[in-house]
Amino acid sequence: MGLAAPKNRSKISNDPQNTTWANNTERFGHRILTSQGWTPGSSLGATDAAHKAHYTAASHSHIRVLLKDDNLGLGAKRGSERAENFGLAGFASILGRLNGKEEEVKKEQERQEKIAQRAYVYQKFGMMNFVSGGFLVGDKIEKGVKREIEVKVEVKSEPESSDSEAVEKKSKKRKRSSEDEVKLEEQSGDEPELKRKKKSMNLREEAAKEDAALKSSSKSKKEKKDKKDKKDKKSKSASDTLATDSEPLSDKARRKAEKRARKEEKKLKKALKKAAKEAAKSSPTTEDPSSGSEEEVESTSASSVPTSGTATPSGLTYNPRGMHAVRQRYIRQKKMASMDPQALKEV
Amino acid sequence: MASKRELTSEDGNSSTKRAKMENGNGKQDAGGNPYLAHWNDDSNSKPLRVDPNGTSGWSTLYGGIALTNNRIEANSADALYNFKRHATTSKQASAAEDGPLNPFTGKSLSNRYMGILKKRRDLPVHKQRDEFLKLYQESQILVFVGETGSGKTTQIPQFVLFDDMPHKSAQMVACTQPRRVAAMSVAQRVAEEMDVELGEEVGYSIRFEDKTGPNTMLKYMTDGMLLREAMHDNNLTRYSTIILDEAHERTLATDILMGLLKEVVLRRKDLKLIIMSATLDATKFQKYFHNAPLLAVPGRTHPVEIFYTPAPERDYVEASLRTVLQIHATEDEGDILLFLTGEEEIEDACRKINLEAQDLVREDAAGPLVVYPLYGTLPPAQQQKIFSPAPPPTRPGGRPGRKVIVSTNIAETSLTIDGIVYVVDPGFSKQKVYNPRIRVESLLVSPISKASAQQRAGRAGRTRPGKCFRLYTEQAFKKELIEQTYPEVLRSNLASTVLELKKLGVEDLVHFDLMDPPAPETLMRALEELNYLACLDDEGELTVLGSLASQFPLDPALAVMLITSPEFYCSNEILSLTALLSVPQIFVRPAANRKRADEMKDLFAHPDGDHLTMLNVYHAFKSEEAQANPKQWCHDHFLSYRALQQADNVRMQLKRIMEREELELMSTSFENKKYYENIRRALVAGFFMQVAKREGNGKTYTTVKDEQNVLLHPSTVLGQDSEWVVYNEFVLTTKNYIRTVTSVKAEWLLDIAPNYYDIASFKKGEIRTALQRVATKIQRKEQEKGKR
Repeated sequence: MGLAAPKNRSKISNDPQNTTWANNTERFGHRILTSQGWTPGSSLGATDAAHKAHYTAASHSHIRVLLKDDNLGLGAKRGSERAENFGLAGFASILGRLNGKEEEVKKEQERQEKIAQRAYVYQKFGMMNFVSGGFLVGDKIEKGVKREIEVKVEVKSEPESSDSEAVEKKSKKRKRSSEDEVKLEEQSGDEPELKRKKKSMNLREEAAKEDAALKSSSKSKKEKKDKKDKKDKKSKSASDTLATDSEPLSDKARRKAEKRARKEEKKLKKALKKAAKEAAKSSPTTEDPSSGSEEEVESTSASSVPTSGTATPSGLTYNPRGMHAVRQRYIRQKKMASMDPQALKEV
Repeated sequence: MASKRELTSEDGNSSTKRAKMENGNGKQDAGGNPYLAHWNDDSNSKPLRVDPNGTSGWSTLYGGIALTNNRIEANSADALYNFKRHATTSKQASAAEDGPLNPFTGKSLSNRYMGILKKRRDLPVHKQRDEFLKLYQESQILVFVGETGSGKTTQIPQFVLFDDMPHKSAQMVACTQPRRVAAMSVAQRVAEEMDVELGEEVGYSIRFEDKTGPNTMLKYMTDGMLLREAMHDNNLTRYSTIILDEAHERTLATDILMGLLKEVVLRRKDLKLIIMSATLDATKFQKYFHNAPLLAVPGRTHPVEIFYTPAPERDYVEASLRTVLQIHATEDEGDILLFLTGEEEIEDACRKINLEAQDLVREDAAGPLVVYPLYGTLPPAQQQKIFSPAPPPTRPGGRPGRKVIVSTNIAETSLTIDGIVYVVDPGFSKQKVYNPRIRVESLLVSPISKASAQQRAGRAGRTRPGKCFRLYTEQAFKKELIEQTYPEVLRSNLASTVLELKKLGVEDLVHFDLMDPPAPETLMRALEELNYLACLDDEGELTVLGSLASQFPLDPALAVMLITSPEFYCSNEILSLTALLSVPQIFVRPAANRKRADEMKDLFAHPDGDHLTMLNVYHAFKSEEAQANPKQWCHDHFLSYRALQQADNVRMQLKRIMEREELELMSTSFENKKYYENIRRALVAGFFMQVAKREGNGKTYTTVKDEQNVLLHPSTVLGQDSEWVVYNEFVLTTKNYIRTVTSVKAEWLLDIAPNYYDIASFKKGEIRTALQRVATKIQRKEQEKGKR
């Protein structure tokens, strides 16, 4: 909570749990209960009930609930959210300029803006990532099915209209990003089989990209390569970055991947071509990202927007008007402020 | 005068005419009229059934039953004659069901019946009819598990009818439901399925309505009603089989009934008991009922894919809205069910979704979307809307429309909405909790249980494979949610339950065999409250007042207030007030029009408090001016017509009970200075345990004895200048509020409830000194009086 957060002042009573009452054994209730054979500390109910094992703690003492006065989601802790840092980014940029790093600062700013823009689109549309937790059959969740679909992310492509192609693209991208996430998680736990599968999936993508990239403009190719590098860095967590393509792989996996890749080639090609066009149009800034800045990009937290690659075609954008626009802007500002923990670190 | 005489003479004429008609061509009439078909069957039953005097009372009624039973047997001899009680098979029953005559009424079966019968035989329970009958016949208690959609609520009681044949022994089969609406609608449905009229062979009984007749053999009722009946007939002799439906919901009344019936089945070996539950975790029920046999019928559900968020959400409402919109834009056809916690949150969410969806449609990014709210206090007509189909695409070939239902946990078990494919579950619901130490019963937003999360997810798989989006992590599901939702008995004030149990003849409350015994402190509190209210004497025995109070379907404090109100010459007013306090909030305060609503409320405001303000509202509501067009009047004055109407209804019921118990109804004349004072004193007689005293001259109050710091709820009309107040409700939030308050005088407290306000029993502090001061003042006054 920042300084601007609302204060909740409340007076706590002298005896909020009323222990005066609870500890008093002279009371009528206490007397009646003991006279009927209850002993302090035991629970009520039939003496040797067959279902005694099913009694819960609430049979011993009343149910205690935490007061909830906010909209914090289940499992979220107050203060666990990233620090809000209004204005700190600006401060950082001034410092940067004073230190004679004008170029970098500018680049950084532009990048921030892009993130914000994209965040806006995502905020409007999606951003809700989900991880599958298996199927509910009857009353139980079947875990057996679960592992296979773990990688799958909720948003599905809808090949319907030109509009939906945009959706498709985006979803794919999201899929990728979340794959990365999953991967990161998976790396800590040791599940070799899964890792391999993921690797092969990675490969498939790479292969597909390679094929497609040949035909798209060199600009996008470069981009792709960078992206690939990043991915490998993540999946291998090794330092040998540039060598992935030529790295020796198990033949079988590769063949398999390529085969599948060819199947998808057509679809991808189309999408990529479009994406490339879009990129050329909309992003003069991404021209030649230095590897340094790429690394920076990479270090943005896992849940943030994928930063590399082309801009999302804005088939689904939404133009706010009037009151709505003000609200939207406000939300966007909030988002912007809370999205990037880096500014804080940098100071 | 003249006109009156005319009327009476006319009356006389007509009655003679009628008599003549009956004498003349009564027989012919009956022959032609299909509704009087039963006259032909057995002419004997005719004079008994239309007994106009009713002088012979019960004996006639029983005679009527016996006779009608004869009639039935005569008619349906071909269908049921060779049925041996508790030895029938499904084959026999099927044959009887096929007709051509209705086995219970003897009338020929309609075409519609045949249509329904075909559908009924497709229900999952039907496949296990033989198995059910076998277990039912073999054992006294049976636990039956069927998921929603298996048809258990409508079919099982009918299966029982064909085997139990309660009409042959002039008994009934009872099937309890936790909700009144369910009891009504299910009874209606079953009457259709059996091709009988509702209120005849199949009827229902709920708190303020009894739709049963002498012919009734299957009675749907609320669990509370059966409990009330048990208070008068401890062995429930009217019933041959009792079915407790929706036992998994574990309502207070169901829990008490289970404890009670567990003892009754030992006393009555002929009584059969079926516990029906919708969750598969029925082992607890089995264990509880001495390892009763279990029969499980699978429901018709499809697999549901569960999704979790990768990280906890910071704002579950916002996240749920985004999820709904995302589903709408990216997922296939199918309706969405979103679970939120309360009315305000739901209405707000509906508004936001509508707004965003309109934009989506304008951009042609998605099909049309309609949003329906669903919560308990919603008028029935609006609740019905949720069943309307999703909207069609805006243009032919366009993207399909979708409906979104934003609901409280009503939609979790009780309501079944077909067409739901996507469920969004933020993991919260409003749940009642009771803290016996500070005596607060409050509805609070808290995490749901695992069982309830699964129930919610299951809603997505009713028509085809669905998806459930949980707005929390899998980790949170495993670690933060409890296994089962706590039953109501663990989260309520038990004062009225204890009173009921005492009335039911349960002496040993400590060892009363409940499935989940309440916390000892909760029981202690209940006993103490009843003792202070003089419903229980110092030995814990029911007093006359207590037994009288148990006649009222009210909280003991309210009942006692009502019973003692004649002593304060204001029982009419207290009766109205009691009714007003037992219905939902009567003041409406729409977010868009708060100021105007407050102005209107000020019209009725009484400076001494909210209770009196409510009374003013009620009196105004009953005035001629308002009654001319009550709906409009309520709307104009920002009052809830439904609540007031309900209060009117409750008042009537309570009045009937008061008349039956010979409690005098009276009023102090309005001109009398003491009109309002009397009402306030009567209020103290019931609510002396809910009193707060102001701290010094500040804003905060302290509750008497429990010593909790509270504030007056902002909605009160009471100024800050009253030292002592009674309150109706303690509202738990980050700040503690007391709602519906009225100012009282300390003298009254000492005078009316000397037991509770025994100064020696108070802790040293401000309250004690204040009471002491008042006591000495009274003493001095009396001494002065004595001197004179």
